[in-house]
Amino acid sequence: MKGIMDWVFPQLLVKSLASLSPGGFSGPPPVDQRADDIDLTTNSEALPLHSGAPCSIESRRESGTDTTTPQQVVEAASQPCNHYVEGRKTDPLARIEDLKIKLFRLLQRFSLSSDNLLVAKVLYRIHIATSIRAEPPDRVRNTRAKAIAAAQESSGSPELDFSLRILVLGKTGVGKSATINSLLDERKTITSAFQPATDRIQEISGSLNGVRVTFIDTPGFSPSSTSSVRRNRKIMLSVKRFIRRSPPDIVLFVERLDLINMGSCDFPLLKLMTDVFGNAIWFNTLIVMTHASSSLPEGTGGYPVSYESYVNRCSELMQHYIHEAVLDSKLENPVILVENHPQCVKNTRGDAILPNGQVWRSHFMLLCICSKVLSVASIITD
Amino acid sequence: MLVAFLRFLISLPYSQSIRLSFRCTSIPASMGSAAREWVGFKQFPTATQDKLVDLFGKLKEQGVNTLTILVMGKGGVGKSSTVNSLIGERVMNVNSFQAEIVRPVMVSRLRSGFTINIIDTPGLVEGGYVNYPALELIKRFLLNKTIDVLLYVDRLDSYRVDDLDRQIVSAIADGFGKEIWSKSLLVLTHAQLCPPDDISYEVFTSRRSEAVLKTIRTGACIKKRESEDYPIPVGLVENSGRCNKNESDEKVLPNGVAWIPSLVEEIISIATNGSKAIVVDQKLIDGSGSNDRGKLLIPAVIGVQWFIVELIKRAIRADIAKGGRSL
Repeated sequence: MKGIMDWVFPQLLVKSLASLSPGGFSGPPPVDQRADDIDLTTNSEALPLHSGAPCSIESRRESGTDTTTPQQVVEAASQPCNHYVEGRKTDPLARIEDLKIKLFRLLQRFSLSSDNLLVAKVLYRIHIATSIRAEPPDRVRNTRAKAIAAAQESSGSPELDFSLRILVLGKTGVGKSATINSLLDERKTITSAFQPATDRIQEISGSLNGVRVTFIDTPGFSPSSTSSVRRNRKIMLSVKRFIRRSPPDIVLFVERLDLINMGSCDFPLLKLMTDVFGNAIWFNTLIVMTHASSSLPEGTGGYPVSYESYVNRCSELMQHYIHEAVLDSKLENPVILVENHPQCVKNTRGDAILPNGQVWRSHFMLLCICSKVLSVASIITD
Repeated sequence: MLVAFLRFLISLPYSQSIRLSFRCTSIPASMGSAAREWVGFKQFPTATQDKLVDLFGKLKEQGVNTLTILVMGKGGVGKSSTVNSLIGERVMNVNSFQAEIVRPVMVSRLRSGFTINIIDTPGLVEGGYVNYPALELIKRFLLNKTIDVLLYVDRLDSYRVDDLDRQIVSAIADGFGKEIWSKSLLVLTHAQLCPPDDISYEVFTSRRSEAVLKTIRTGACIKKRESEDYPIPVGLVENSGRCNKNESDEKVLPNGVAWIPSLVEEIISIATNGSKAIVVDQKLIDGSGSNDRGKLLIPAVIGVQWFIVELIKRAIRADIAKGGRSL
């Protein structure tokens, strides 16, 4: 017998989490106060504030954009007034422009190349969303955005206001708290090798290169068995209550790379998570695999398997189980590899690297930034 | 008295009777290869071979010509890999993504009059639950065999023990009798690891072993005194090709111990520890069905019931005497 609250919570959660889906341009109406939280006007020296659609034409001309074709004027006039967001007087295309500038600034801060495939995908998605309004070719705007970003980074003048809220879920002992510690580079929370160390939900904040990152660390789930279902459900319900107040941008589901095999990939746990949180929890989830530089098991024939093929198999297995839990096989959850051991191999610059040479911290930040940018973009363009 | 009899019936654990009613009518699994010459023995480095010859020699002096080892544990922990390492040949297929073995297989090897039998079994966990049919299959396979040593396998690099482990231990104790745990050895695989949290290797292995042993004692209801008489030793094992080697080319663990001779030594010490070997006969397979918990309370319960019934009888008689005129 479902109470009224059981019905209301999934609806609220679907609204907040589904709007985060990267491909979800046709999602439910955005939660406007979330858009307000993201402070986009701080770096809008080139973008004037204006109210209502008619004025936008003149102000955009005045802002000195490179091309002011009649086409642009026509389409600006035809912008329906539903883009007028309460308390925000910026045109959404300008906000997208802001967002792109932010993206380039972040990439520069974390020394990530913007010729990355993932960044290209993000920019392309943004382009698709905005080109509905018949934009001029994006390349012009991208170079302009990049130039502005470089200028702002070197001068450091407008404060980059970008924050990340990350919810961390997973079984006990997989390395959730250890990942948080190694990302923030200090022991902010206790870990223990022999018993569950995190016993209540706590928020851990830190700052990475000027980005405010808040992790929501949760108690780990027990592996599924007859006696653990009740305990896991209790933890999940308390997490649900916690995030109802302030929904996270990204959800991380943590697993151990070296323990994934037929037995350990816990399908009943995934099913329970889908039942409690709803399908929406998986739309913006990144799969984190810890112990990523541990020795690999040997394949058939006693020969060592290649790292890439092993990681791919594990990712496919996890993805397969998530598809089964959600009953949707089109979902794609990116996989991040992580190694928290202090004696992890380091490259010449002192960054921890994985057996395939990847600097895992940069890749982690790249995926989080891109996820957040996509979700913000989809909110703006909705 | 009827009440007491009903109470007695209820005290029998029903779960046992449900398991007994499961009758597998398939043909018992093949015995595996008959005793062949132990060619894998020559694969071991000379130092290991010498130590093993020594150990088996001591066994033969005591008149023991054969050793039967049963390997059990949940799936994916390294049972088949351990068997491969001990035999020195790739007898069992190993796959990290799917369960290779679905029924028990016995591997027998003969060397200078000494026979070693190792029985590899399917994992005892299926989808978050203990796989009782697999346990039945194993018991049926072992008909008329004698088990000298049980190797209970788990991973050193798993950090947690949970209720499922306790349930597995409990199922083994119920299926083979609690005495099997006096002939058992805990094997922890993936022993070549770098401990987390700046813990030293010795501290990590001892804490992990203690955690698993505690689960075993709880699951099998081993009391403190029994565990002191027959403590369960721990063997550390590293089956991968990446295992470090010492100067004599023996596989060594991070604590410098050559693990193959060390493990065989522990196995032999268990086999000769004075506790009776487990003979798997039809009676064991059918199962005695009951566990001993609470049996001593039965007379007390009967006594209390008799007393209560007497009280009720007295009250009824008194009531009849009081209200004689009725109806």
